[in-house]
Amino acid sequence: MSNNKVYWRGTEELEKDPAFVKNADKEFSEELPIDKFLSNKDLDSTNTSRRDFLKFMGFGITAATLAACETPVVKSMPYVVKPDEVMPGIANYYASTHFDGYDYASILVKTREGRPIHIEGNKLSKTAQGGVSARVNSSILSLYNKRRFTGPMKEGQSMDWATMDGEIAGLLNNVKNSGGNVRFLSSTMISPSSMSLIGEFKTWMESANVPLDATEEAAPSSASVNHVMYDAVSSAAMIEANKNTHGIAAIPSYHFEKAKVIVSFGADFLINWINPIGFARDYANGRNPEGGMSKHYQFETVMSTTGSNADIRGAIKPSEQGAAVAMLGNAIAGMMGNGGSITASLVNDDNQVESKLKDAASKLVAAKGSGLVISDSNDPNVQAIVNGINEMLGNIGSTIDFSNTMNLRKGSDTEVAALIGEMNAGAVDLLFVMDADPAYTLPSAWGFSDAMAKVKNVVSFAEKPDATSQSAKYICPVHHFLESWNDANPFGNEVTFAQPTINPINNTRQWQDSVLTWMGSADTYYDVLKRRWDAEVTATDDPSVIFASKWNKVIQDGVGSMPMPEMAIVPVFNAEAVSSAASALSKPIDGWEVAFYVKAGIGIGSNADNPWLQELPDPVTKVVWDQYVAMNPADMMSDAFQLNTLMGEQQRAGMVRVTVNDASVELPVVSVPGQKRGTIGVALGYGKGYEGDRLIGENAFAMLPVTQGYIRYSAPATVEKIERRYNIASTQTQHTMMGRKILNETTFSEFKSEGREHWNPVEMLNDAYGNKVTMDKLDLWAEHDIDLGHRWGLSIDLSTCIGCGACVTACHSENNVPIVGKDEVNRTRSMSWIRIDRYYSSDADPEIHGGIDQDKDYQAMEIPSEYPEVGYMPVMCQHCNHAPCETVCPVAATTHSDEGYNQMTYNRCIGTRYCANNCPYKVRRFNWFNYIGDSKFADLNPSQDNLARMVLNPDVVVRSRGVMEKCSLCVQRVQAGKLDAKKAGTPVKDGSIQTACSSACPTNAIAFGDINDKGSNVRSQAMNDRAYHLLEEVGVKPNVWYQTKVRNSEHNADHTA
Amino acid sequence: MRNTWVSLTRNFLFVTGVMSLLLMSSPASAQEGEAIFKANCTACHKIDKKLVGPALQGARARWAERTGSDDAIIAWVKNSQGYMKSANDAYANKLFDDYNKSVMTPMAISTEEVVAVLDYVDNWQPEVPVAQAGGEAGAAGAEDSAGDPTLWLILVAVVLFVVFRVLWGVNKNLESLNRQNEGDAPVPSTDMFGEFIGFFTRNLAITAVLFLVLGAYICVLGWDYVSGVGVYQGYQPKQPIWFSHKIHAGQNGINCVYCHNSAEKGKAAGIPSLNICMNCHMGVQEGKVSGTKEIAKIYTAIGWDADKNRYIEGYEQKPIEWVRIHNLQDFVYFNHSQHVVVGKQECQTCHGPIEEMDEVYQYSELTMGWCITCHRETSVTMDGNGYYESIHEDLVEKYKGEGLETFTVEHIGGLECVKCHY
Repeated sequence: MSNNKVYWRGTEELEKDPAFVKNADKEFSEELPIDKFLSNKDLDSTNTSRRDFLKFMGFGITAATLAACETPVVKSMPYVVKPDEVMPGIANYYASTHFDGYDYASILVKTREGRPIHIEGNKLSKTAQGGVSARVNSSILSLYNKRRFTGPMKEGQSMDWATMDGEIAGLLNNVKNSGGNVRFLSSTMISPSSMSLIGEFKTWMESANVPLDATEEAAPSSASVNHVMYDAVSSAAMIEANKNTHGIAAIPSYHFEKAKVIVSFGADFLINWINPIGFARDYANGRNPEGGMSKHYQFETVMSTTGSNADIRGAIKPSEQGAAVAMLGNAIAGMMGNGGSITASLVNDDNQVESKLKDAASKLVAAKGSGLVISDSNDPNVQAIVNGINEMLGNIGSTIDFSNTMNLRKGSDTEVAALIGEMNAGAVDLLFVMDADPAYTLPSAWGFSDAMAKVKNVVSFAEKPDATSQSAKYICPVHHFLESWNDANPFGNEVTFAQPTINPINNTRQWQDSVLTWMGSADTYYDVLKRRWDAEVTATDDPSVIFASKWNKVIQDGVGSMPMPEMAIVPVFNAEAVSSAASALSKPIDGWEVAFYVKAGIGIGSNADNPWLQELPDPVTKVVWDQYVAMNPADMMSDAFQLNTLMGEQQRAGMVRVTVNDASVELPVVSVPGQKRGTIGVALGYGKGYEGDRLIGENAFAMLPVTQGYIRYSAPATVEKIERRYNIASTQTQHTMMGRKILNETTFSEFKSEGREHWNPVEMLNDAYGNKVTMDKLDLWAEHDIDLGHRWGLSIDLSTCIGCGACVTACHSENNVPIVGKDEVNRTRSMSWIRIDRYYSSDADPEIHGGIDQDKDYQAMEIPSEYPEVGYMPVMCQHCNHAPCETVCPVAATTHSDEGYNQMTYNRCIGTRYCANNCPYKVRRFNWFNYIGDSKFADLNPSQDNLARMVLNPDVVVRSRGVMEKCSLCVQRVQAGKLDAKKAGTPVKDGSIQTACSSACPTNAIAFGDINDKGSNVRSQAMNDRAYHLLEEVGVKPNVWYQTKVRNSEHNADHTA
Repeated sequence: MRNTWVSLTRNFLFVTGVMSLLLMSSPASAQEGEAIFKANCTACHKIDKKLVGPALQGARARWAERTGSDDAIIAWVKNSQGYMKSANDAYANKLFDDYNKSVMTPMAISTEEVVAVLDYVDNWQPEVPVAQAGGEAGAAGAEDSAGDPTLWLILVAVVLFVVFRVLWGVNKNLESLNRQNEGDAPVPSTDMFGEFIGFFTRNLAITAVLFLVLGAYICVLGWDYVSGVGVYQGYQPKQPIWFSHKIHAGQNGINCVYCHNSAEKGKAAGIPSLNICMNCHMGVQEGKVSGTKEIAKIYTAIGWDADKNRYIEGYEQKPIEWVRIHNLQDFVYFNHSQHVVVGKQECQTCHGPIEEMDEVYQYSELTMGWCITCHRETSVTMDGNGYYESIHEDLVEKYKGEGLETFTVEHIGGLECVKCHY
């Protein structure tokens, strides 16, 4: 039957638009310039016909094809004279020390053929105790940063060292002869030798000149030299308070492992505060559910990494911190019958902070002498009351040790302010700036940049261009720390060493060598160090090895101990100081406040141009590559803002303008449950790093207010919505567990009182006959032969995982995982082999709302609580014994090994992505692009840079486009470890093989080993009662176990929801 | 440790062997002098040049002109330190000082043998370097003449074709003549190609068979070609230094791992760095054929002044750019120490008769099939290695039914992907 329907090509045809009708019979409606082309007179004169073109093309293709089959000529160049310690293909490890003025770690640097490629922790160190943080292990990539200075510069022009030395020595001589002020400005310096070098320089400058004419009398020089230290995130108030209350102007060492009750007011001690790597390990050691478990209270504004790990968290406004501390003090004093009450109250207690404080007080009193109260406040009054509380509880001397002081923060706000005063007065003739970027990190209220313009000569010892070096007259670029010699005295009498692991890449010189040269010394800094420590250091005892000298021994270990003055430091408590502080305590303020905080990856911004750190998801928000305003979702949805709380590719974030005093920034808003309502959080350290040409974020350091001479990390602010939207990239857009057993959690009291079936029930399923059986009884396939030989596996303790992300960057470094940039992350194409899932608790009751089949407001479970509890769960390939990915691969590119691996063979993969579809854990990553060659990633991916490519691990393949990749359980390390054992003719020793993630973990939450080894740590963990498999019910039998998270709280929040 | 022991034992046997030979044949002649010289003296002495020690030619005369006899030099050779103590000879002291006070190793040889050496070196005449050019040309010629036989086949085919064409033409002409003679019309002038085609169009069965055979042959050729892509068996590039493994490993019997020492330690067997070459070539400065020229390349690279016998200070060293012969793809991990130390494989298993190669070529296919075949067939030496103890027990238990006691690499997972690909 014929059809009379008429189809139109568009409304134009229907409406018989004249313009359309005119061209309706033509294939191309617009005029094609064929005539014009053919009428071209030159056309006839060309001698390339179409046929010729085809011939050339045909020949070209054939020639190219044949040429492609030619044997590639590969050159091999051996050393001319091979250094003894280098063996091609074998890694060397050098002990060194990382300290950039903020993060301290004693480290082992892995080098291959002279190139540093990976950083791990040095287990001999007492300060960092073998852990690293994301910022520390990523610093290896900064070594190969192409933005680093390549040589000395004066006023933007390149210069050679000899001329530079001449000019600066001349300037110094001028000052020495005619008087003047020379100032050093740095971040906290913990190197004893550098400190004494500056001391020597001072003596040299201030001492009399030898007169040219012998008859003249040597006049003492009127030059003055001074060294000022400051911290980007200041702890000056703490040092001041310690001086006032205990007579010691320093930061004591803290013993989190001894503390039974920890109360922290804002101090993010797991990733930022003072010595986070060491503290994290201590903290984890004190939190062993099978043994004893400390109870951790956190009262803070922003949802910090530490706060998200707390057993009890109370959200307070930043201005309420003093009041909260005072209320805790009142409660404790009350319970101990000391009387003495400070008037304090909270403005808006919507998180039961008052009762939580009372609870904390009673726990602290019960655990007298083994509690620990700390605060990150830079208000000396608050710190003084904290000291008073610790004194009252008898914590000083047990968990707080004033006899071994922490040297990692020594900066003084007063001194730096005084220096700026001097500079403004034009009294500074020569300013040396090292290990710091004051023009960036000092609050604009102090006007450092203006003051700097008034200094006659500024010499910047910068490694790469920064705000200070930009306006400095002289730039004497320094080595990266991996190219330098140094020593460090992080705490007590421990001294650790930094040694070069590579020859300087650029024409740089460490500042100590520059100063020595200008002083006319023939020594290098290395000579100075060696002379000093050969005499002074006490090496760790190891009778099995005979060393040429103590120096060799300590350089090999990286750690030694230095002689300390015999006189013991005894803190003397001054109660007067506490009560005067209490009376001067500032009151909480009403209205919006902004809290400035430091992020796990970016830190204080010194490595903001490190793509590994920019792409490291924030532990809490999982946002990458951006700065944002953290706001409680309840506030975002309030009438005043009406902002979008959702995240994802299609969800553009709303923006606000934050104004503090006169300065304002416009930033996107990200919903952070747990952020105190009525406050926002803004991260420091931005406005420095780039993604391609895009400057990421704004410098929030500039906005910091200064009150009573101290930099404060919060301020009253006005927050207004602006009508712009912004794309935010986040690796996790789902926030809750929807009532499933994903991150299994229980309370400490239930864990102790109830059996496993209560808090970690074994998954039971119906078999064909309707009998309940455990998952291991139900098999679709034959078992792999996993009992023979090795069976590698991981066990991850969710109780001690703090979500810091050190494992993520370690994995990037070890396995050459590409960086893909914000746009690709936004398209859910992040390439990380290990991700840390973060779950918020929800108020929705799964009994009421649960089950997709039940139409009971199911979506309520997707919404986190206003002040939720948080859990972290690292997820990598689970290496399933019944892996769903293996059965769907059409080319057998992913198969199972009898050693427990789920093997991924890149050269076999054809990129169907069936495996990723079938993976219940979503851990497989697809190479959508040729990240090492595609121009889209030229500015992002380190492997596209000739210099940064040196960081790649030569034992691991760089994957190409169209290939699936995933966690390999660091098979290259396992194979190397097995080979060592085979060569030695011994079984593999438990613990001798570590994956990158397990070795990086500062809390030892990740354990790796042979499950078939009866004595292995990982086996004992996998067999214990807390162990379970993620998504056990799907029956894939993973080789990765998780240990149930135990939170030390009495009540059980609806954590499963 | 073990290696040191072996080499010590070997040296001992060698020395005693030489000694006993020498003892049997004394008194020694000048011919024997050469043997004794080569066995004992060449490490430190040359005949006409100074090396570690002085040139030996004329040494006898230098000593004899003062003392009037050979006794002093003989005593010196046997034990130079002893001679210096007892004789207090100013010349000897000066000699000792001139040569950096390096003590000459006392020689446990008889007086006759010393005399034989002295006779030999005094009568020695330098060889005229004619052989060099001839040798090289010979080598190049040999290479060409060893060219493959395809060329010959093509030549024969062309000749045969020409013969065939001529015969065919003759045949045609004869037939035409014949027909003309018989008064018939001459054969229509067709070309050979036309008749050739005509034959096949008339005999379709033959054509079909021929097509099938040809088609199959082309398929086989194609398959062979494709599976040969990326396989460089027999690859023998020209190297910047004409280094002969035949001389070093074959004739001189130097152990492979003396130079390629990282084969026992790491994944790469390693091309020896030049300082390893210099261990011997500080002394061995000349070769018979092209050696002198090639050894000089080492000196140019490392900065060795052969005349003064010392390194040139501040010399800018240049690495040698060898052409890599064995190229495994980037996605394969291969570890030499695994195979050499743990697997106890000989180098020759994969690299072929390297000690017979003047120029090294790729002996094995280096394909995955080649690897896998070996892993399937090679049994693992588990005895005496603590690592394999429990694994061996488990394997015996597992293969009880088959009664296996020894196991191949395959049994311990040697065919699993991640053993080589990561």
